[in-house]
Amino acid sequence: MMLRVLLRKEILLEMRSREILVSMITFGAAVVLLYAFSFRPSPEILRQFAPGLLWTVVLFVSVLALHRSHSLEKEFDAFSLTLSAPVDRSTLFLSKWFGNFLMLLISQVILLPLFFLFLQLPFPSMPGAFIGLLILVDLGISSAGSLLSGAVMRARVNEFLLPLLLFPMVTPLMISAVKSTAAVMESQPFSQWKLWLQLIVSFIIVFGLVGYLIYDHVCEE
Amino acid sequence: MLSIENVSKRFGAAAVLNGASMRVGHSESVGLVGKNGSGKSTLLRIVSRILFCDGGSIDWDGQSLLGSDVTLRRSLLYLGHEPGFYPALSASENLHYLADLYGVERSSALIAEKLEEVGLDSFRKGPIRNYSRGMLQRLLLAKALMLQWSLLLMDEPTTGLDSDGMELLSALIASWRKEGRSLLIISHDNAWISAHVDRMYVLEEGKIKSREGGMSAPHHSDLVTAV
Repeated sequence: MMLRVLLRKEILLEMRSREILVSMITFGAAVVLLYAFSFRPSPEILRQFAPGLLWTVVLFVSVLALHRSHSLEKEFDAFSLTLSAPVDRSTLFLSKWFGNFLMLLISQVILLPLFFLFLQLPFPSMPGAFIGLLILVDLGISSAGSLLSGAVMRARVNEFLLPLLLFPMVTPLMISAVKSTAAVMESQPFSQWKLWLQLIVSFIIVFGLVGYLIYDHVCEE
Repeated sequence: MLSIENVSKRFGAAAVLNGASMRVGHSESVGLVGKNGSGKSTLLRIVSRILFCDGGSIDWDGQSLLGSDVTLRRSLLYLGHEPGFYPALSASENLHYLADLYGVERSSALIAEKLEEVGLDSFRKGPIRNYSRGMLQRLLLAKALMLQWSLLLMDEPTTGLDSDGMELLSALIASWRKEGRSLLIISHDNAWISAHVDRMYVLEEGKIKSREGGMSAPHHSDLVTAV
């Protein structure tokens, strides 16, 4: 119930401010166009590079959402409204996690077709597995990112700190995402990329649990 | 009763609170004064659990407010020095969210009624980003009118209010005192706060040094220096 209230607020804030999604989509589209026009390798080489390019776009774009989700709370000291209310801080973490996940997912609905269109890549032949992977990796990025974003929100240079801390932290997730996406794009059997998928799921569980348990202390001033 | 015992808080090397203790009884209105940076707002934010303290205890009716039991926080309401609302949302949307957080009635009619009481009914639809400081202060009063609380923590409630707003605030405080609710008020306006509290504390060098009324009374010069 409380999670629904908090999530509804996250969505309402984005509907009213229209800051997060617009900046994510604009920035993501700019990076995709940059990739498309700055180098023109052969289709074979491009197919090999595509998973890495895709996840760097997603990672860059996610920083905007993750940073904004907590910086919106700083304006007018709005966070104090929620912090002083009878709200469990773990539920607050879940709302930030799922709110950021939702923003990532919505931005990808627009950015993914652009990515495949401008880089002239065929859409993966296993669309179910590909979309499933996207959802899992988005959950991973948003779990670690929401936790970090909360931790650095009151730092003076939080806009620099967030990517500086986030990128090394999600490196295992990104490697797993690139490897498994490459396997899916090449239609490899599940046994070939099962290990990477297990790593992704482990990452989600670890950061989801850590965030759930320590967000109370993380979001303190 | 709110009981604050030996609360300490450091920000880096600076000890802002150093064993601060005070009490606010039921149906009591208490003032807290002190110089800029003496830690008054920090203390209120600790009581509201926006900040954690490094040591000490804070109890409400014998139950610790520092624990993980969030239900106890329904009895307390914090009206901070900053607006504490989402600037992108309208006054109605902010109050809807507030009502959802506290699990109280959230009908549009009720919210409109509360906004009318504080003189904001004609401004309820636009984002509060465009509100003046006084309008934001009135919105904070609407927050207090929306909820059922037993102890109200107010940090500089007169900030930005015009004479009508000051009258409204005074009338509301008088009615809350009449209803037997407890108030803990921070203000730099010594004359104003004196008229609205039963007794006053002075926060100095991280400690609550003196009290007025039933307990040890502060020297008048202490109060003047502090304010």
